[in-house]
Amino acid sequence: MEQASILALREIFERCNIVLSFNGPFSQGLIEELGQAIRSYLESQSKARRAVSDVFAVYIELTQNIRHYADAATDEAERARLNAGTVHIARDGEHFLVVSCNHVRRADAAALAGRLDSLAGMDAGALKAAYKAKLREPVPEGAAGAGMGLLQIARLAAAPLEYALAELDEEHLYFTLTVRL
Amino acid sequence: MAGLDPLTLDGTRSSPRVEGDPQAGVLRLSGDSYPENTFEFYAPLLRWLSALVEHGDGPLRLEIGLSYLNTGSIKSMMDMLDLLEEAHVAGRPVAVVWRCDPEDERAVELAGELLEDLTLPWEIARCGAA
Repeated sequence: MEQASILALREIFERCNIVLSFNGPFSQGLIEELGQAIRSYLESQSKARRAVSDVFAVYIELTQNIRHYADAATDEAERARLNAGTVHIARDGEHFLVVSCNHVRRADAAALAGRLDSLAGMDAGALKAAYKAKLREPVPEGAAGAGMGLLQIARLAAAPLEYALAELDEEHLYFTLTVRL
Repeated sequence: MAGLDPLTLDGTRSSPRVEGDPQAGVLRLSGDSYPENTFEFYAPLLRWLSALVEHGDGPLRLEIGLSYLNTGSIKSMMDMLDLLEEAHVAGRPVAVVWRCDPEDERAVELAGELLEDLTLPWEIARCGAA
């Protein structure tokens, strides 16, 4: 890694107040290790218990979502590709940002955007009602998750979820989600 | 009850410690809960609890002392509570105790949201980390 890149990266870390980043393939073991690091960091900063809980919860839902999405791919190379991603934890004044980035198949992008748009239009009461309804909904056979992750994240967030889908290649878009806590 | 084995699982960083005592009719969960395949983890627990409900008539007690639950675990907890709710409606003595660290307001909120729609007797015990 050339010195110019290292310095450029440092400049970005400083400017964006990034306190922890990971880029690469996710595994359950790695998710646990990083989660422990996030908790330790926030506790060492004497952050309120609620902030520690919320950042950890959002981080777990986002990273386990990426794992579940990748696991559903039938092709080995595709699974590896979808299982890699980037997660950043950044400070923003009194708030924290949890940012996740991963590859999304073009065919899945519209449904994902639709879910996030519908969550953005819901107030706290509507989010709670949707959450309660989902709690009682049967989970589809073979589903890895409860399908409640984004709903839970939207409920914890201090601001509407921000997302972007950038062009990547013929098959994929690059999905970024920013959660303010 | 006869025929149902105790259920014991050591906790890990991401999966709870589980103690199911069929004689006492008690199932206890403690620790963090965000295992890799959450539904696979909870399927045998739900089967065990279901067997406990179906095959006896003694009192049932669920003691939850979980500090963090991912959404799959929350859903699984709702499924367990619904099983016990049915038993309660059918006349079985049932009690649920959810132990929360009082400092952890998110844990207290979660317990409240899951329990508030149930008619079975429940209690949120604010008593420090389980």
